[in-house]
Amino acid sequence: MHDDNWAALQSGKLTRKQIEYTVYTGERLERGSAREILQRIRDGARPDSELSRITLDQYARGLVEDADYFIPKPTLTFLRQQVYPTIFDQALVYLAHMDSSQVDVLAIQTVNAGEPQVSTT
Amino acid sequence: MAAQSPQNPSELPGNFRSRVFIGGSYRTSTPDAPLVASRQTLDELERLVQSLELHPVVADQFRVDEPDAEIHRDAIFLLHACRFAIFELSGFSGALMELERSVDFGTNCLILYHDPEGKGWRLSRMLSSFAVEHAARVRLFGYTHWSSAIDSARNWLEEMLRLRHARR
Repeated sequence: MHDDNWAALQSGKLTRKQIEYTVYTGERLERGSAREILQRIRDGARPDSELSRITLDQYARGLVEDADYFIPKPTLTFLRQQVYPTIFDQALVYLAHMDSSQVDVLAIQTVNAGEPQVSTT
Repeated sequence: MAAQSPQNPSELPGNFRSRVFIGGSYRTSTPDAPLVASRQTLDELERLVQSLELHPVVADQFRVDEPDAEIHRDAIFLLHACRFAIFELSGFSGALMELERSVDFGTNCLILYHDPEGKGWRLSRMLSSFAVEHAARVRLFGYTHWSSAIDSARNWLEEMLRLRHARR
Protein backbone atom coordinates (compact mmCIF):
# COMPACT_ATOMS: atom_id res chain seq x y z
CA MET A 1 0.00 0.00 0.00
CA HIS A 2 2.21 2.76 -1.22
CA ASP A 3 -0.03 5.15 -3.07
CA ASP A 4 -1.90 8.37 -2.50
CA ASN A 5 -4.72 6.73 -0.61
CA TRP A 6 -2.33 4.86 1.61
CA ALA A 7 -0.44 8.07 2.27
CA ALA A 8 -3.68 9.79 3.16
CA LEU A 9 -4.61 6.93 5.44
CA GLN A 10 -1.25 7.20 7.16
CA SER A 11 -1.60 10.90 7.66
CA GLY A 12 -5.03 10.53 9.25
CA LYS A 13 -6.58 12.82 6.66
CA LEU A 14 -9.22 10.31 5.66
CA THR A 15 -12.24 9.85 7.83
CA ARG A 16 -13.94 6.57 8.53
CA LYS A 17 -16.60 7.17 5.91
CA GLN A 18 -14.03 8.03 3.28
CA ILE A 19 -12.23 4.72 3.28
CA GLU A 20 -13.41 1.57 1.63
CA TYR A 21 -11.31 -1.49 1.26
CA THR A 22 -11.43 -4.23 -1.29
CA VAL A 23 -10.13 -7.44 0.21
CA TYR A 24 -9.90 -11.05 -0.80
CA THR A 25 -10.81 -13.22 2.15
CA GLY A 26 -9.52 -16.46 0.72
CA GLU A 27 -13.02 -17.29 -0.50
CA ARG A 28 -14.43 -14.14 -2.02
CA LEU A 29 -13.96 -10.45 -2.65
CA GLU A 30 -15.39 -8.09 -0.06
CA ARG A 31 -15.80 -4.35 -0.31
CA GLY A 32 -16.66 -1.95 2.45
CA SER A 33 -15.31 -0.11 5.45
CA ALA A 34 -12.85 -1.93 7.67
CA ARG A 35 -15.57 -2.37 10.26
CA GLU A 36 -17.98 -3.86 7.74
CA ILE A 37 -15.40 -6.28 6.40
CA LEU A 38 -14.35 -7.45 9.83
CA GLN A 39 -18.02 -7.91 10.71
CA ARG A 40 -18.52 -10.08 7.62
CA ILE A 41 -15.45 -12.15 8.44
CA ARG A 42 -16.77 -12.63 11.96
CA ASP A 43 -20.23 -13.52 10.65
CA GLY A 44 -18.65 -16.20 8.45
CA ALA A 45 -16.70 -17.82 11.27
CA ARG A 46 -17.48 -21.37 12.27
CA PRO A 47 -20.03 -21.48 15.11
CA ASP A 48 -17.59 -23.39 17.32
CA SER A 49 -14.77 -20.88 16.79
CA GLU A 50 -13.58 -18.40 19.37
CA LEU A 51 -14.26 -15.62 16.88
CA SER A 52 -17.98 -16.37 16.83
CA ARG A 53 -18.13 -15.87 20.61
CA ILE A 54 -16.51 -12.46 20.86
CA THR A 55 -17.72 -9.01 19.92
CA LEU A 56 -16.49 -7.08 16.93
CA ASP A 57 -14.71 -4.61 19.21
CA GLN A 58 -12.93 -7.45 21.00
CA TYR A 59 -11.97 -8.95 17.66
CA ALA A 60 -10.43 -5.71 16.41
CA ARG A 61 -8.65 -4.95 19.68
CA GLY A 62 -7.29 -8.49 19.84
CA LEU A 63 -5.85 -8.31 16.34
CA VAL A 64 -4.00 -5.14 17.25
CA GLU A 65 -2.88 -6.31 20.68
CA ASP A 66 -1.66 -9.71 19.42
CA ALA A 67 0.29 -8.28 16.50
CA ASP A 68 3.63 -8.95 18.18
CA TYR A 69 2.99 -12.66 17.99
CA PHE A 70 1.94 -12.88 14.38
CA ILE A 71 3.53 -10.11 12.35
CA PRO A 72 7.27 -10.08 11.68
CA LYS A 73 8.95 -7.37 13.68
CA PRO A 74 10.23 -5.23 10.76
CA THR A 75 6.78 -5.18 9.19
CA LEU A 76 5.08 -4.42 12.47
CA THR A 77 7.50 -1.62 13.25
CA PHE A 78 6.44 0.05 10.02
CA LEU A 79 2.75 -0.57 10.53
CA ARG A 80 2.88 0.90 14.02
CA GLN A 81 4.29 4.13 12.64
CA GLN A 82 1.19 4.66 10.54
CA VAL A 83 -1.94 6.51 11.55
CA TYR A 84 -5.28 4.74 11.29
CA PRO A 85 -8.64 6.51 11.43
CA THR A 86 -10.20 3.75 13.52
CA ILE A 87 -9.08 0.64 15.32
CA PHE A 88 -11.01 -1.34 12.72
CA ASP A 89 -8.81 0.04 9.95
CA GLN A 90 -5.73 -0.79 11.98
CA ALA A 91 -7.03 -4.27 12.75
CA LEU A 92 -7.86 -5.03 9.11
CA VAL A 93 -4.44 -3.91 7.90
CA TYR A 94 -2.75 -5.96 10.64
CA LEU A 95 -4.89 -9.00 9.83
CA ALA A 96 -3.80 -8.82 6.21
CA HIS A 97 -0.17 -9.02 7.34
CA MET A 98 -0.62 -12.11 9.50
CA ASP A 99 0.62 -15.26 7.79
CA SER A 100 -2.13 -17.27 9.46
CA SER A 101 -4.71 -15.07 7.74
CA GLN A 102 -5.99 -15.47 4.21
CA VAL A 103 -7.08 -11.85 4.01
CA ASP A 104 -5.37 -9.70 1.42
CA VAL A 105 -6.08 -5.99 1.05
CA LEU A 106 -6.25 -5.46 -2.71
CA ALA A 107 -7.30 -1.83 -2.84
CA ILE A 108 -8.12 1.16 -0.72
CA GLN A 109 -10.79 3.40 -2.14
CA THR A 110 -11.63 6.91 -1.17
CA VAL A 111 -15.27 7.86 -1.40
CA ASN A 112 -17.16 11.10 -0.80
CA ALA A 113 -14.80 12.89 -3.14
CA GLY A 114 -16.66 12.76 -6.38
CA GLU A 115 -15.86 9.66 -8.29
CA PRO A 116 -14.26 7.00 -6.18
CA GLN A 117 -10.51 6.85 -6.60
CA VAL A 118 -9.33 3.32 -6.68
CA SER A 119 -5.76 2.36 -6.07
CA THR A 120 -4.30 -1.07 -5.83
CA THR A 121 -1.77 -2.23 -3.31
CA MET B 1 15.00 -18.18 27.40
CA ALA B 2 16.86 -19.72 24.47
CA ALA B 3 19.93 -17.77 25.57
CA GLN B 4 20.34 -19.83 28.75
CA SER B 5 23.26 -22.26 28.80
CA PRO B 6 22.15 -25.55 27.25
CA GLN B 7 20.77 -28.19 29.57
CA ASN B 8 22.02 -31.75 29.65
CA PRO B 9 19.46 -34.02 27.93
CA SER B 10 20.54 -36.87 30.20
CA GLU B 11 19.39 -34.93 33.25
CA LEU B 12 15.80 -34.01 32.54
CA PRO B 13 13.85 -32.12 35.17
CA GLY B 14 10.94 -33.71 37.03
CA ASN B 15 9.47 -37.08 36.15
CA PHE B 16 7.71 -38.59 33.16
CA ARG B 17 4.27 -37.46 34.35
CA SER B 18 5.35 -33.94 35.18
CA ARG B 19 7.12 -33.17 31.91
CA VAL B 20 5.45 -31.16 29.20
CA PHE B 21 7.14 -30.98 25.83
CA ILE B 22 6.67 -27.61 24.15
CA GLY B 23 6.90 -27.69 20.38
CA GLY B 24 6.58 -25.26 17.53
CA SER B 25 8.99 -23.16 15.60
CA TYR B 26 12.02 -22.38 17.73
CA ARG B 27 13.36 -19.77 15.35
CA THR B 28 12.89 -16.11 15.92
CA SER B 29 11.39 -14.02 13.19
CA THR B 30 13.66 -12.31 10.69
CA PRO B 31 12.85 -10.27 7.58
CA ASP B 32 13.94 -13.18 5.42
CA ALA B 33 12.11 -15.78 7.42
CA PRO B 34 8.95 -14.39 8.93
CA LEU B 35 7.13 -16.78 11.18
CA VAL B 36 3.47 -17.42 11.62
CA ALA B 37 3.77 -17.40 15.38
CA SER B 38 6.77 -15.99 17.16
CA ARG B 39 9.12 -17.75 19.50
CA GLN B 40 7.53 -15.66 22.22
CA THR B 41 4.52 -17.99 22.20
CA LEU B 42 6.72 -20.92 23.21
CA ASP B 43 8.37 -18.88 25.95
CA GLU B 44 4.97 -18.00 27.38
CA LEU B 45 3.86 -21.63 27.28
CA GLU B 46 7.02 -22.54 29.11
CA ARG B 47 6.24 -20.04 31.86
CA LEU B 48 2.68 -21.34 32.10
CA VAL B 49 3.89 -24.91 32.63
CA GLN B 50 6.31 -23.72 35.30
CA SER B 51 3.54 -21.78 37.05
CA LEU B 52 1.61 -25.03 37.44
CA GLU B 53 4.69 -26.63 39.01
CA LEU B 54 5.13 -28.95 36.07
CA HIS B 55 8.33 -29.24 34.05
CA PRO B 56 8.56 -27.74 30.57
CA VAL B 57 10.87 -29.35 28.05
CA VAL B 58 11.78 -27.02 25.22
CA ALA B 59 14.05 -28.84 22.80
CA ASP B 60 16.29 -25.94 21.83
CA GLN B 61 17.29 -25.44 25.46
CA PHE B 62 19.11 -28.78 25.46
CA ARG B 63 22.62 -29.45 24.30
CA VAL B 64 23.02 -31.13 20.92
CA ASP B 65 26.55 -32.25 20.15
CA GLU B 66 26.16 -32.49 16.37
CA PRO B 67 23.19 -30.29 15.45
CA ASP B 68 23.23 -31.04 11.74
CA ALA B 69 23.03 -34.76 12.35
CA GLU B 70 21.28 -35.09 15.68
CA ILE B 71 18.61 -32.43 16.17
CA HIS B 72 15.80 -34.66 14.96
CA ARG B 73 16.89 -37.67 17.02
CA ASP B 74 17.45 -35.62 20.17
CA ALA B 75 14.11 -33.83 19.85
CA ILE B 76 12.30 -37.14 19.50
CA PHE B 77 14.18 -38.44 22.53
CA LEU B 78 13.03 -35.44 24.56
CA LEU B 79 9.44 -35.86 23.38
CA HIS B 80 9.57 -39.54 24.31
CA ALA B 81 10.49 -38.58 27.87
CA CYS B 82 7.38 -36.43 28.32
CA ARG B 83 3.86 -37.54 29.17
CA PHE B 84 2.39 -34.35 27.67
CA ALA B 85 3.06 -32.05 24.78
CA ILE B 86 1.77 -28.66 23.77
CA PHE B 87 2.39 -27.65 20.18
CA GLU B 88 1.93 -24.24 18.61
CA LEU B 89 1.18 -25.29 15.05
CA SER B 90 -0.12 -22.28 13.22
CA GLY B 91 2.47 -22.91 10.53
CA PHE B 92 4.72 -25.62 9.19
CA SER B 93 7.71 -26.48 11.34
CA GLY B 94 9.75 -29.46 12.46
CA ALA B 95 7.25 -29.90 15.25
CA LEU B 96 4.97 -31.67 12.79
CA MET B 97 7.39 -34.61 12.83
CA GLU B 98 7.24 -34.63 16.61
CA LEU B 99 3.47 -34.53 16.58
CA GLU B 100 3.21 -37.60 14.41
CA ARG B 101 5.60 -39.56 16.62
CA SER B 102 3.71 -38.52 19.73
CA VAL B 103 1.00 -41.09 18.97
CA ASP B 104 3.58 -43.86 19.02
CA PHE B 105 4.69 -42.70 22.45
CA GLY B 106 1.20 -42.31 23.90
CA THR B 107 1.81 -38.63 24.56
CA ASN B 108 -1.23 -36.52 25.36
CA CYS B 109 -1.13 -33.52 23.07
CA LEU B 110 -2.69 -30.11 22.85
CA ILE B 111 -2.36 -28.39 19.49
CA LEU B 112 -2.81 -24.63 19.45
CA TYR B 113 -3.24 -22.80 16.18
CA HIS B 114 -3.98 -19.21 15.29
CA ASP B 115 -7.39 -18.95 13.67
CA PRO B 116 -7.99 -15.23 13.10
CA GLU B 117 -10.92 -15.79 10.75
CA GLY B 118 -12.65 -18.63 12.56
CA LYS B 119 -12.21 -21.07 9.70
CA GLY B 120 -10.60 -23.96 11.56
CA TRP B 121 -7.21 -25.63 11.13
CA ARG B 122 -6.26 -25.30 7.47
CA LEU B 123 -2.59 -26.14 7.59
CA SER B 124 -3.21 -29.38 5.75
CA ARG B 125 -6.05 -31.86 5.48
CA MET B 126 -3.56 -34.60 6.25
CA LEU B 127 -2.95 -32.99 9.63
CA SER B 128 -6.60 -32.31 10.30
CA SER B 129 -7.45 -35.93 9.65
CA PHE B 130 -4.54 -36.99 11.86
CA ALA B 131 -6.03 -34.99 14.73
CA VAL B 132 -9.47 -36.52 14.16
CA GLU B 133 -8.03 -40.02 13.92
CA HIS B 134 -6.24 -39.60 17.25
CA ALA B 135 -8.82 -37.47 19.00
CA ALA B 136 -8.48 -39.43 22.21
CA ARG B 137 -4.96 -38.15 22.71
CA VAL B 138 -4.81 -35.08 20.51
CA ARG B 139 -6.87 -32.01 21.32
CA LEU B 140 -7.11 -29.09 18.93
CA PHE B 141 -7.70 -25.50 19.93
CA GLY B 142 -8.00 -22.67 17.44
CA TYR B 143 -7.56 -19.28 19.01
CA THR B 144 -8.30 -15.79 17.83
CA HIS B 145 -6.43 -14.17 20.69
CA TRP B 146 -3.22 -15.49 22.15
CA SER B 147 -4.55 -15.03 25.69
CA SER B 148 -7.20 -17.64 24.86
CA ALA B 149 -4.49 -20.06 23.83
CA ILE B 150 -2.80 -19.62 27.18
CA ASP B 151 -6.12 -20.10 29.00
CA SER B 152 -6.81 -23.22 26.97
CA ALA B 153 -3.38 -24.66 27.77
CA ARG B 154 -3.86 -23.88 31.46
CA ASN B 155 -7.29 -25.52 31.53
CA TRP B 156 -5.98 -28.57 29.72
CA LEU B 157 -3.05 -29.03 32.07
CA GLU B 158 -5.27 -28.52 35.12
CA GLU B 159 -7.58 -31.18 33.73
CA MET B 160 -4.62 -33.53 33.32
CA LEU B 161 -3.70 -32.86 36.95
CA ARG B 162 -7.27 -33.43 38.16
CA LEU B 163 -7.46 -36.71 36.27
CA ARG B 164 -4.07 -37.59 37.77
CA HIS B 165 -2.61 -38.16 34.34
CA ALA B 166 -0.14 -35.49 35.35
CA ARG B 167 1.62 -35.55 38.69
CA ARG B 168 3.98 -33.04 40.17
